[in-house]
Amino acid sequence: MSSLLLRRLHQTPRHLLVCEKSHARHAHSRHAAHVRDHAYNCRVSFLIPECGMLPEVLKSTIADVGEYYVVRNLPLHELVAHEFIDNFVKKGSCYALTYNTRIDQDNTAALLPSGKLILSVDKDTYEELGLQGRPSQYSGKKVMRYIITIDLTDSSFHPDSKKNKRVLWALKEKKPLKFDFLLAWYNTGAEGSTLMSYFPQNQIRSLKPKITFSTLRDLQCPVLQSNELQGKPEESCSAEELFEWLGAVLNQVNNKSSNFVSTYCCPQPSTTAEQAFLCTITGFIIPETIIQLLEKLCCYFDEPKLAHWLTLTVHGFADSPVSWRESEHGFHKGGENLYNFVVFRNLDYWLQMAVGTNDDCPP
Amino acid sequence: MAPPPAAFERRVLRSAAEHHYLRVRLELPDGAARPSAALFKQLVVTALRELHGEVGAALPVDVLTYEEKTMSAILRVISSGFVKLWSALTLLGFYQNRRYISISSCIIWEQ
Amino acid sequence: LCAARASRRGAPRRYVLCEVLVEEPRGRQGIEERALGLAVRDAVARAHGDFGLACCCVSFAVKYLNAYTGAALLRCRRDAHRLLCAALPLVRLLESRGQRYPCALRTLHLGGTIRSCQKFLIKYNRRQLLTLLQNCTNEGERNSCSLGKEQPEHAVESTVSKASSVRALLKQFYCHS
Repeated sequence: MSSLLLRRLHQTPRHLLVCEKSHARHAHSRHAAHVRDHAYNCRVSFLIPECGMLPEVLKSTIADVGEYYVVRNLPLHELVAHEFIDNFVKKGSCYALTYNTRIDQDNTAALLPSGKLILSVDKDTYEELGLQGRPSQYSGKKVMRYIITIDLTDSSFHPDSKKNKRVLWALKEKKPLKFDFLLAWYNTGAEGSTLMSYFPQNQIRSLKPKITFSTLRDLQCPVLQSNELQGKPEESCSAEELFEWLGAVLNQVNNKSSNFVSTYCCPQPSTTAEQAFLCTITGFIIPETIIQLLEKLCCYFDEPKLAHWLTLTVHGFADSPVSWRESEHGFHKGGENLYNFVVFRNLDYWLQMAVGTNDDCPP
Repeated sequence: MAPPPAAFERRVLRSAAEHHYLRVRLELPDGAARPSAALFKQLVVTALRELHGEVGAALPVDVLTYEEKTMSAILRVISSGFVKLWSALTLLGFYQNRRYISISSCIIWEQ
Repeated sequence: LCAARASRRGAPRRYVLCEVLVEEPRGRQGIEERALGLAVRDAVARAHGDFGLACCCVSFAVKYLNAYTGAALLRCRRDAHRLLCAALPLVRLLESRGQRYPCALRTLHLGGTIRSCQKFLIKYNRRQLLTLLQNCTNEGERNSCSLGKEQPEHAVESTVSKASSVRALLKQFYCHS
């Protein structure tokens, strides 16, 4: 016991950082797939060095960042209702995530665009619900949390099937669960009823993502070489160093390092950019928006620019039940799941994906 | 001629982060004097010395940002000292001989 | 088997054999086990704080202290022996019977059992004795060299197993080699 305690004292909980490099126009590049697999994003920020204001190419994208909806006290069976599945889940990408619930203590639910409804529930609720699930991967010897996955678009889930009736009965009568939901819906072209008109007016509210701009002056930026992921001493910085530096920039750490309070300094070698443009979007942002934004950021380099690279950082919800694809996500000590693109002038890119302790390795 | 487009490469770094970060907030009873950045750092070092002795006090901890108005700060610590720092902050209960509660938590940026 | 043995004997222990060095060797006789224990505890608290002290204090004890030769045997849990060893050089002062002795601790051996520490101590004392004897010039010095004239017999006995005097010890040593 004491030995374990002493060993733990020097160890940090497991965390992973996956770095990839490739070319954005490469036929087999998986960057769009990685973005699409990460369904729930709460903050997107991009940083462009040597740029003072929002570039023209990005203006239209920023202007119509899709709105999202908050539905208060929505019974969970509404998401399993056939009207909802036919109108929204099957006609586009429907995203839903419970809001203000904590993954490590509350029940949570999430609807993926693939049509899978994922419930992460504690033991008592699981037993009351009586639906088939599996124990959570990170619950240790004594299982206190279960994951239930229901495929809403599956052919065996038609309105008259036994399975459908059982799920509806469990969620309606056996254990009625109610949550506040964040909802977003993306459909390609086809007109249909909107979420706004589907749900009762007093429950649903539409929200615009919050967008903030700022211009940073005299920013010290690390020197990067697109084909050197590990960096070269004296020549360029590695991906890890950049990742750390970016965290400091996004949190507005001012670079005045005094010996006593802070010894932080920019990784070397570095150059000083006269100005840098930082834009942060917060809200419930769907991957389609991010893919669009990433494309536009690549277009930024169509004309010659001073900047050698730019970055796009996306933070996932700490309390979502999944991180990438359907891999289970837990909170443990920070619940971080985030990724970061560095796009170079020649459209090479680096992708860094980071997860905390209770997470699978990103794809 | 421009260099050829980068070939695909993937590296997985397992628990390789050099530093860990903590966002903390100090909670003092109403009317208590708010510490400055230097005093705040001193407080962190005192907490470490109390629980982990001189060895703990020697840990490299940086106060990256500190906002005096809300008394919230972002701390950076070397990964091997992360657990020590967190435990020390949790168990610290006095500031200038007065009781206070510190709510620390929330790691903001892994790596 | 190992696990069974450990559970029968309780948690695994480590024994640290060290030598108490004081400025005036004769002053050593006033030092008590309790005083040494307190001083070590104090040093651990200073170096490793409340947490380290709590880890170290579980089954910490001064098992043996020879006031004449200065050999001391400390016991602690195996998990905490690193903490203890790291703190030993920080012991600067012993307070015993109202007197203060500036001192230092020299770690000689780290063992899993008292027996292994005792074996080491015998070997160590023999080696020390040999170097001292080689530096002697006459017979009188030789008889009294290592431990001092007023050294009672029982002290040697407890330090080096069966040798009843310096001479006997010497004989034993040469027989062995």
